Amino acid sequence: MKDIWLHLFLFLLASTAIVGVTTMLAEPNDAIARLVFPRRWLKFVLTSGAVALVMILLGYTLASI
Amino acid sequence: MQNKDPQGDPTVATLLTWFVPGAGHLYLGRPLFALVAFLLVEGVYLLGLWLTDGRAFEILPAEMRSQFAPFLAPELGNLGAMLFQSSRFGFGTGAPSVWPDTMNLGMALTSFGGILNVLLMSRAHFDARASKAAPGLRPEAAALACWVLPGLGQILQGRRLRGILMFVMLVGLFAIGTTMGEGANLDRERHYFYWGGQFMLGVPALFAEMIHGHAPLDHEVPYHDLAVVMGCVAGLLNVLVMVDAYGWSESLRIGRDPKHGLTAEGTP
Repeated sequence: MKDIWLHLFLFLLASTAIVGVTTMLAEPNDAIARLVFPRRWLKFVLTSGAVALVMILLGYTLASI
Repeated sequence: MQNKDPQGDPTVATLLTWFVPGAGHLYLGRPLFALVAFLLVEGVYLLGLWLTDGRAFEILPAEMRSQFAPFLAPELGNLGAMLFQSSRFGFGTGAPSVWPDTMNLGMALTSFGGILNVLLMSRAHFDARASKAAPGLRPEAAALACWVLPGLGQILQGRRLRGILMFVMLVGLFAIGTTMGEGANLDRERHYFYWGGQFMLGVPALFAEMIHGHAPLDHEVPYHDLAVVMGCVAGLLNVLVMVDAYGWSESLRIGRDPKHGLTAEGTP
């Protein structure tokens, strides 16, 4: 858990770029892209968080030495 | 606006260009364009090959060398030249020697030769489908502009906000990663494959590499991995930015509404 807040900040930064660019690619219409971005971003962050949680749990249980 | 009488098969034109730059346009009956394209793309590649003494693949660490390792480099875009380089020079003789002073410039040129040929392939594909297109920014030119500067293609298309946002997000991601990693990501010898992804960010990545130099790592860099990942992610995301610019110009030139994107209703 070293520098957890910094890592979280960087993750949110990277996720904004990833979701932002993919949203713009999927929606050439700027108005629609603006509308769908928040939902897509939230979905990405929550899904990534769930994956991270599973990995941490596995790290402390099945994969622990 | 679409050509009712195609000059050839777009897939054949694209594959021919992949093997020999210009061959696709020769197949499409445009010999002069084919010759100019061949000289330009192969000229850039061969200049790079000359500046590196053909040793661009030799910098790959011994444990990472395989028959297919060069296929994960930007040079892959120019398959014929890359196969020539692999067969003629390979991974070198194994004898230790100092890199040429122009090694990094040469590698940037061979990689750029690969990018140029991919754009030429896309042009061959487009020309085979729609030779009588509407005027305006050509799709491959819009994509190239995005390689020069992320978002520039969109700005040239009149989509300023989109272009500026793309630039800020990608160059910002790259700049933060590079700063935190003390520039450890800016070296192809150190991160051969990641450098290939980062190269897709275009001129900003090359400019950062040029001004930072290639200092040896003489101390522990805490955010070394972060720099490598963020630089590579920014570069790979720029491929999507290039595709976005390409798609918009392509739609305009063939007379389709460019706002009908990948997921919008009414997409043909």
